[in-house]
Amino acid sequence: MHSKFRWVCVDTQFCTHHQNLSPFSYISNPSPMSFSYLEGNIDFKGQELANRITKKLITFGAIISFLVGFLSDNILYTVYTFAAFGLLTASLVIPPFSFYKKNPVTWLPKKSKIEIQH
Amino acid sequence: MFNIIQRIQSLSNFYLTVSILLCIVTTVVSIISMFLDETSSIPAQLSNVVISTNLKYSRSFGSVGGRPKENSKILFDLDMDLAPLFNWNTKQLFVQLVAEYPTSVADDGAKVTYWDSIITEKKYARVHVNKQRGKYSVWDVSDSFQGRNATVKLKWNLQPYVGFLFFGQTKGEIEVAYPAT
Repeated sequence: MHSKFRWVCVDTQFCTHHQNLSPFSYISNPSPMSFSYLEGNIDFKGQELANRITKKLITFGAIISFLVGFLSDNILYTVYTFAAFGLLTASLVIPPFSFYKKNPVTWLPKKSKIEIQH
Repeated sequence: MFNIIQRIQSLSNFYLTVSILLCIVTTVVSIISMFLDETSSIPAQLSNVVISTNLKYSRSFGSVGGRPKENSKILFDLDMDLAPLFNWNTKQLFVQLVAEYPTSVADDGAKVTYWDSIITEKKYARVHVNKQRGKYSVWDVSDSFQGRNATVKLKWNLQPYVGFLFFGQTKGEIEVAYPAT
């Protein structure tokens, strides 16, 4: 295994597929011992969607809860409404629902080793 | 946003950011509504203010070495309505009856509290008391109040749910002379 070549991942922020580095590449070949289902991974389009839902719902909730508190003359209603919006957003965004996984990443087939000379 | 931990992190991050913005907006709006309600000029009817003095010989009334110390008490009528101070962000009000008189130790005079009260709800914002006694027995650094005039006024302190403490005073102060013993 003393190769002078290695696989590199260009997108270091999002790519967790260091296939040659980690013996536990649980994403490409899940085994009964892996706990990837606890990680709740979603694809790139799903991440964008979750991000948008978070931003929009919480901003909307802040405006609504401010109005609710101001019009009902009680700031406690602002707190409760905003907390409710936080819980709603969390229940929508945190679990890996199937609509976050509609566009799985299709990797190029392994043809040969990508060679980078050191 | 890739896995659950990242989603929890970015969600709570954005939630806390928006809550801080909500607090700032709430503070600004309550300051504006305090200006619109003209809270700096709430009238208060102070009348029949009588200050009485008597001599005390106890250490707990400021007497040192058994020398007589003049203590003063107050009796007053008060009628005011602090309902404009209760906006949606008001938690409670602290009102205090303050007398200001010239003293030897401070250039801008001494400020002493004779009576105070905590108002927690809007339905108690109307304060109408007759022949109310002060809560506190007040003494000066010097041994006597004799020959001084006190300006008695009512100050309030608004404690909001979100934001800063606000201090102010009502309109209508009254000048009272300390009695000669």
